[in-house]
Amino acid sequence: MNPQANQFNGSGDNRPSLLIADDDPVMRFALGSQLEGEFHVVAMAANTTEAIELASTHRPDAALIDVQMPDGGAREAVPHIATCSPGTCIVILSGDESRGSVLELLDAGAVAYLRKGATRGEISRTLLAAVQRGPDPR
Amino acid sequence: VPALGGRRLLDEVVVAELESLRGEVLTELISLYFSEVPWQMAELSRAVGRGETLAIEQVAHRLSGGSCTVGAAQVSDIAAELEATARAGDLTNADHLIERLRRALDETQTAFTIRLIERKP
Repeated sequence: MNPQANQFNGSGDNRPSLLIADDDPVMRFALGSQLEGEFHVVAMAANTTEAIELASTHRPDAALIDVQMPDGGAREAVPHIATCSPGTCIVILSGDESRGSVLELLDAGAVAYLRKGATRGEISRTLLAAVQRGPDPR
Repeated sequence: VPALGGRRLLDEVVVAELESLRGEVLTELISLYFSEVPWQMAELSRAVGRGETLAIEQVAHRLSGGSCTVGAAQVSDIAAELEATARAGDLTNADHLIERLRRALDETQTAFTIRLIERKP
């Protein structure tokens, strides 16, 4: 179990907390609706700056970050979130990134990668596994 | 929901999954999805007219992803094809793909409307 996970700190809500960052409102709504059963969605961000600010404020157990967003995307967000909220497990969400850019993001602090179009079950299982394991030590 | 050639309009697995969520999630999601379509199609037409491949690639990527999420399979596939075309820098087929997108979106909207009506008790 991730010792830094904040959902077990007495809030009474057993669900891991989750930040969703995607510039597409359709994706934000769909992901929030699909994951609200297993996760406490504490914040949604529509761009990179918001994602970093909200991660810093909420320090969620997990963050689901779209690779392509205005003002930098995951390449900008991942290292910042890994620094300002080191207990957050960052999972990348994208369509068709090259292996090289995925490895770069994993090296920058992300713990897993999901393709857009993954089923609700796949997304949920990946996020839960990430939270159970905890973020990579930096 | 069959389509005239090519992939089916709706991805039944995705739509069934969305239908299994609380209350009106599918209705709200479809409404949000189609509220985004007009500006996306306008931007695609504008960008194709000006030969702006990067803008086409970005908007088509977003349309493809959103469509995949709501189960609009055929729209997602055509948008992905347009995205790949723009990425390759070859826009000779772009007008044809935009027209296919329009038709697929119309058919998808009809299919979802029927689907939502049939769900009502």
